[in-house]
Amino acid sequence: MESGAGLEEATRWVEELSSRAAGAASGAELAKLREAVGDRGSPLSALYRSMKVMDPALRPEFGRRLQELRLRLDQALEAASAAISAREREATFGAERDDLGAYLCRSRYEGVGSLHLITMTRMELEDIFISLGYAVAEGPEVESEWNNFEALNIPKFHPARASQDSFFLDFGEEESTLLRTHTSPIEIRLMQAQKPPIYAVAPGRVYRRDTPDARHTPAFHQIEALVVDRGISFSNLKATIESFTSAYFGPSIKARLRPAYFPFTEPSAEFEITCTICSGTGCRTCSGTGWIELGGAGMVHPKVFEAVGIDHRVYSGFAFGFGIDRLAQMRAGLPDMRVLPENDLRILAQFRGRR
Amino acid sequence: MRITLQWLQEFADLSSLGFGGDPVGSAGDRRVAALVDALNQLGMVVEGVEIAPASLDGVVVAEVVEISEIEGADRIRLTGVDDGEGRLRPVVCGAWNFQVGDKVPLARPGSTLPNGREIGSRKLRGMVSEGMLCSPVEVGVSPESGGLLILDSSAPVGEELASYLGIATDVVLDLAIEANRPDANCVMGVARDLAAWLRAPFSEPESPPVKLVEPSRPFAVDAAACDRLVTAEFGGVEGATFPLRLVRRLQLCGMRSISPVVDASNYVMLEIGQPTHAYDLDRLAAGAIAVRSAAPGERITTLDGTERTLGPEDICIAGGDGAPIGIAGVMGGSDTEITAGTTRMLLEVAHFDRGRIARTSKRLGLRSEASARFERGVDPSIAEQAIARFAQLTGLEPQVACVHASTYPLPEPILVKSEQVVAAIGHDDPQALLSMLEPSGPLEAIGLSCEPTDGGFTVTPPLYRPDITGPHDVIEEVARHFGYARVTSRMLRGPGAGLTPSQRFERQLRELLGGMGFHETWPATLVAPAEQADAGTTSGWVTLSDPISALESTLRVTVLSGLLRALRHNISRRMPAVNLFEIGPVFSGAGGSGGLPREVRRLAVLVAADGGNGLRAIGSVLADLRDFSRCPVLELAEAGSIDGSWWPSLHPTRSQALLDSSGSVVGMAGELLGSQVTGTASPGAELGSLPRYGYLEIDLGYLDSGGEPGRIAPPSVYTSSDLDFSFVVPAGVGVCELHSAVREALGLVCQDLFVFDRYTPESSGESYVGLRARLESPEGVIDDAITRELIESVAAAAARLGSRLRRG
Repeated sequence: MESGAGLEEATRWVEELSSRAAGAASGAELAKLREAVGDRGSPLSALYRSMKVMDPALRPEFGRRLQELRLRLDQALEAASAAISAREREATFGAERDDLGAYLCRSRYEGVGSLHLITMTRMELEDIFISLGYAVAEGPEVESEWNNFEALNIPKFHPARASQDSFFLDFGEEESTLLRTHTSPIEIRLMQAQKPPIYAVAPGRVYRRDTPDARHTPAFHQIEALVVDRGISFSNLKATIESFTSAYFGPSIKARLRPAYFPFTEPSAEFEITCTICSGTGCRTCSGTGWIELGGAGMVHPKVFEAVGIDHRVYSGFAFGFGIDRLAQMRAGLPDMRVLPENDLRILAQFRGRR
Repeated sequence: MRITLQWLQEFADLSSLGFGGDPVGSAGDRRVAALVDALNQLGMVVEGVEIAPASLDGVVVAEVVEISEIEGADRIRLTGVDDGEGRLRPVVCGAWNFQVGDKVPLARPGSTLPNGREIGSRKLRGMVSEGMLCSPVEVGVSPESGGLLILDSSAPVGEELASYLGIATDVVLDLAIEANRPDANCVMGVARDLAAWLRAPFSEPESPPVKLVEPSRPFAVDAAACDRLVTAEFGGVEGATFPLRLVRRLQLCGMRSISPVVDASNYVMLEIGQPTHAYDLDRLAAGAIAVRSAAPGERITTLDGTERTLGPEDICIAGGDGAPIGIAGVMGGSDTEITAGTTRMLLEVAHFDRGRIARTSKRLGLRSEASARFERGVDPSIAEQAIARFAQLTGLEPQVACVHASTYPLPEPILVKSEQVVAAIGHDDPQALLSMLEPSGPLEAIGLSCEPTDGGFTVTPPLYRPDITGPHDVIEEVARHFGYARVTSRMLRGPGAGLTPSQRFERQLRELLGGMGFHETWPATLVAPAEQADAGTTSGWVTLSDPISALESTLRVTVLSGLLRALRHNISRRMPAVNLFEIGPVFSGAGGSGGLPREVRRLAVLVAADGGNGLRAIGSVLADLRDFSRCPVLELAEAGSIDGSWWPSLHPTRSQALLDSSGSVVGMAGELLGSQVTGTASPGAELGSLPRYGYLEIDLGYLDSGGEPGRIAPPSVYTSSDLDFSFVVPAGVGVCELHSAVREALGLVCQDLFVFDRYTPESSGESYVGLRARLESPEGVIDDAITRELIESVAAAAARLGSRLRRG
């Protein structure tokens, strides 16, 4: 039977084509095989054409056989195409293989920058006072002698001036301008500009003519809190220092006050906190006392109120302040503060991610 | 100030702290801890505690019976001493200041001296030495050694030296005394305060009173300089004595032993706070002194051998002939100083003006124990007590003691209202606070006389508390003796203002720059003139009057002058990838207000450029900052065309000034010069393998002037399209100008516009700039007709700038 022989040939052809498709190495090779399938001279096309002249009774069966062959071929080509795509994808992935570790192992000086340790410490301190309902006040680093000393009840020749060796400027009258020796002049400006109630914290950079050592640089930073309102008492000062201490250092760190002298407050106090190194059991940092001195505090002196024009019979207030650098140093375990003015990248890079 | 426990105990009964039984063995003794705590709570802060052991067990009084040479030794001798054990003990000794019959301390074998030295029997040059004969240093009574300590001939042989001298283990306390506690600059004052705190008895030592006579010729005293002068003449000064146990006490308190008279004078000062000065009466012209203001230019050689020039502000002690012999209250002169040969002396006990002593001492840079006390305040009424104590300690009899001046004012009573005390301290139990002021309460015990009046107290402070002048001073004393620790804590909250918008902006700006890869620096605000010059400033800066070093002698006019230091520091340590930012002040001598220099806060950014163009690197940073801060559109100007005196000067063709809308310079951005990077003088300094650096300095206030952002605009739902323009731009027209002109011409449909291509042929004044616009409208698709219109208006806008739109 001619048609039977034709079918056999077509089957062989389909099988051969299928096996060639399976072996195709590329999409292009496969495309050529597809062309061959579509070709008018292909055995399958010839058989389809022969159906037109075939006995109609045989046609359905023949057509079904042909359809089967056609399906087999399509499936083979489809499978081959999928295999090639898979191989190509695999090849691409293979070529694109990479190692995340390589990007982690970069120089420590690349990548994100950092806020300064002092900035971060200052912001954290500010945030605690903001949470206590305080505003943040600022002022210039160059100050008048009046704002820095006179208004704070530190007249000329007062011993407290000697203890704050100042950087006076060759500007204006002799010894009339200086780099502020504390942040208190910010409070003088604030009290002159704003009527009570005042609840503010004043951070800033200050300067003293001290020889630099591991704990001191001539420029350093302080933060001072000031409250002026009706009926403010020493007991408010005490509670505020206590709540600040536990907010910043944690509830296990206690604060205590002991009498001291500052010209701008009375009663005055030094405030100490439980030694953060030994938790109060006594160590070298706290000279065995279990306490470390943090800063000064007191009730605003009536003479200061007089200087800024606040009636001390109506209002009273307290102030307390301390060094930011010392806290930053304690937190970061920085052995020597003198590295900070150098701005060495090996130090700055270590400030990343601290908060 | 150093004081000792035993000295305190002579004034204050410390039995309530447990003292009185066993001697103190260590600084950790519970009683010592309680004492330290009490002193701290009183504000007399204990900065150090040292145990001073007597350590004289086994040291006894011995008599030298014989002295013999040792063959072949010329520095040591063999002695035979009697230590009361009935035999002659052989001791080899290297001292030469003694002779047979002298009584000296013997440290027997097995004893350990205060300096920790263990004494045993040993052989020296073949001779057995059973112990050691001791010097004053070795038995701890003096830091000065000059051979053996020669004891009084009456000293009983064999007696323990410690009990003979009255020495026991003591505790030395180093106290920090505040400026408002003149009373506490002596043992008596500390003891008085402590006894009041402990509610324990306090007693002053009693000395036989001194008989005062009317002066036959009163000394001239300037009442404005000195309101109390009492003097006493002493004869037989060469026979003065001073007990060795007190020498040890002085030594423990940090005072060197000089002579019995000087030691006694120092002892009186440490004990009751009154400085005294002794003159050799035979060297004193006319045997008299006077107190007056110094004449301008008057000169005097002080005890330390320095010649000093005085002025009318200084108080001077003059001799009978009017010549200056001392700077009152600060330091005596060398001419009338007492010496080893002095037989007659005049003791000056005075009270000088506090302020003038302070000024003189500060001006001369001469701070003595006496001046420190006078400037803080000495009790003017204790002169007689000082003389009596001096006489008692030295064993000298005052021959003539007279008061020459006594014009000091008495303290003014202070009215303190009870409600004032309660309101200021705020303790929950007002009665407990006010009990401090009651009769025989702690304030009475520290010498404040408190008379109850209507609604309060009339408080009269004692003469030794000149610091107490108003109600607040009294309130502080109430709080102090009530105990700061006992005051109730009362929490207080503010109204809750939060950060201002500017403060929030500054924080976010820092976070942004940190996130962009920049490290924040420690601002170097004090710089060297050379650093100012490197940054481009040659004058106009403010100088410190008295800098620590020339490297930090001026206030920076630009942030760059300080940042260059950081840049070079890191480059020199082989870290050239320097990416820094800083927010800090700059200062200039001109343009300030309120009598102060001008002070402006600026942001500075320093960036290491990857390619060879620092301007490009900093330009992209500035673009980020502009977008972040929403600051108004910046105008750019050639750096050379502006007054750059307050701005850094950078690479001349790769830097531009930033102007605000009014044309004021608000910043400078560009590339650093090679010479700025390397610090070498030549302007064309080779950077070698170093990168180029971009730099930006901008007024913080300008960056912060952006105001609130507008509402978020929803994106268009219609298809967008890109439109590319290519322009020929003549020299002198900035890309920014072209960009804004094109943006304006495109109008609202221009959703984005940016440079996608730029080319400047060499030796050509023109450049080619490609701008790509993203066109998008909320109202519909941008069709060809609209596009053609847009192109025409862009071409016209470019033409107005002298630029030409190239058409394909």
